[in-house]
Amino acid sequence: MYKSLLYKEWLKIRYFLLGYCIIFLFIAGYLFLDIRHMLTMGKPIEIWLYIIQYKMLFYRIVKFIPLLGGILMGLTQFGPEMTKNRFRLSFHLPLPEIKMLLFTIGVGSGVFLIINLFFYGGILLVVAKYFASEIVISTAKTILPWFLSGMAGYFSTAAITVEHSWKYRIILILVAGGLISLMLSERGYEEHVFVIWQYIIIIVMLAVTIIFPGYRLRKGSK
Amino acid sequence: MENVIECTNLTHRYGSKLVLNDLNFIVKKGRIFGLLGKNGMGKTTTINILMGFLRPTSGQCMVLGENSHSLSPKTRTRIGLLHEGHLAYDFMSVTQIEKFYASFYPAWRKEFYYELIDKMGVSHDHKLSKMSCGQRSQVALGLILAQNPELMILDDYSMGLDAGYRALFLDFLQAFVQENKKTVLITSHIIQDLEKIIDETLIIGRQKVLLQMTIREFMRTFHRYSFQSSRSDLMLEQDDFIKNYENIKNKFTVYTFATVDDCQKYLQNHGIEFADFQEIPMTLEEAFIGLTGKY
Repeated sequence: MYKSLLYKEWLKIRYFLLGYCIIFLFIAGYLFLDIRHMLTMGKPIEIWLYIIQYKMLFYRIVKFIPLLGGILMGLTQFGPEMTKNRFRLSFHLPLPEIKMLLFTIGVGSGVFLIINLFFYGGILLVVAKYFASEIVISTAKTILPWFLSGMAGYFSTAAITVEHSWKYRIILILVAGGLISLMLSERGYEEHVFVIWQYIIIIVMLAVTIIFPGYRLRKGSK
Repeated sequence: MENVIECTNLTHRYGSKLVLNDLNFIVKKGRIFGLLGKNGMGKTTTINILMGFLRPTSGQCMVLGENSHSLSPKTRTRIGLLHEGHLAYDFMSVTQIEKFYASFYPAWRKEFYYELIDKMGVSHDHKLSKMSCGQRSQVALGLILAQNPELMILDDYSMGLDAGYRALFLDFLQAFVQENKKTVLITSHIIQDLEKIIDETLIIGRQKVLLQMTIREFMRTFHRYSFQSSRSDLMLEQDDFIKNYENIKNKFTVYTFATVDDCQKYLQNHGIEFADFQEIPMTLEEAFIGLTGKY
């Protein structure tokens, strides 16, 4: 039965995943060419000045891609379930409803996490091609919250889409928006390094949030 | 005979608006039960409660021995639901949706599904989102038949269907139910189609049950009489005797469960002169309108 659920999720997300992979390959390629252009055309002192002194995040183009991906992934997975009351089809399947909901979100987040790990590694490989390990490590620490914001965006979108009361939906949007904007606010390198664990705890909390709108939806209460 | 559905003292409010008031009914095993009523009388609310998607304000519905609000997964395998608008995962194709559902139901009979699909001449890789409403209805019915459930709850199966698809739907349903001794609760806006299929009906009016009986008994005991009266200002009182009446240019039409003699006596006792008194036969749809009113 869970294999069938997996099959359904695959049918929903396969084209999105393909599109996301293409966009990320394009971004990685652009970053590669951009760095090469910068190093070829610029003087070493200028590059040093911009990167070290002015804290210019030369990989800033990546910043909002995971978040955008997370939001679209959540919509791709839960949008079709919620339009035209189609959630009723899923809730009538002979499976415990909450377990099914957690399985669905588990599949989505698992696939999204794996793909993002590849992209994360890919970006670092591009940086490692031209820069010293200190800058690669610094990049890893700086862009990690951006990827975490992608996971937060996915879980938040899933919960907001499943939520059927506008009152709670707005509250969720405000809370999730606030937390995600924290992960994306920085003016330099490695600014979030001391709060990464707190972010992970927030993401876990956002992951289980879907249980509440899901339960209320099943029981028909507002 | 075993009760498959048993609703007791069902009451539901949306805010301060009372929709269902102390509704009681049972559906026995092996019957095709029509839940009828005009728009806004609480049919969909009742169906939503039966399907477990709405918690009633008070009262309860037992479905296959379990409270409809907390049906176990095992019991859900025994219930086939047709949702209003023939709801389905329309991002799937004909084959994909069959493959998806098959593993959930131990008594799955895919031949029932493909028999209906092949009747339509639709290719098996056709996406549901690209199908007409009629075609989607056959897919939804095919999936329910393949599920082979003990109880089928079909909410407004006729929505958006032309006469041909309605007939196809009902022919398959009737053949399946008769052959496999299934129980069906069905609602529809097209009453005339149900006449040949349902055994028993519950007609709900504004916050009350108008009747619950077998179709045969309803059609045998409910009458439409017409007569001429010289009084154009004649107003009849709607009560337990006169269920409904119309007056068009002094030609009265009365709907009642009373016999000809009783009706004539009633009119005489109320001092109403009449002429050209006659009974006019009715279809189920006419009887339904007679009981519930046109407005």
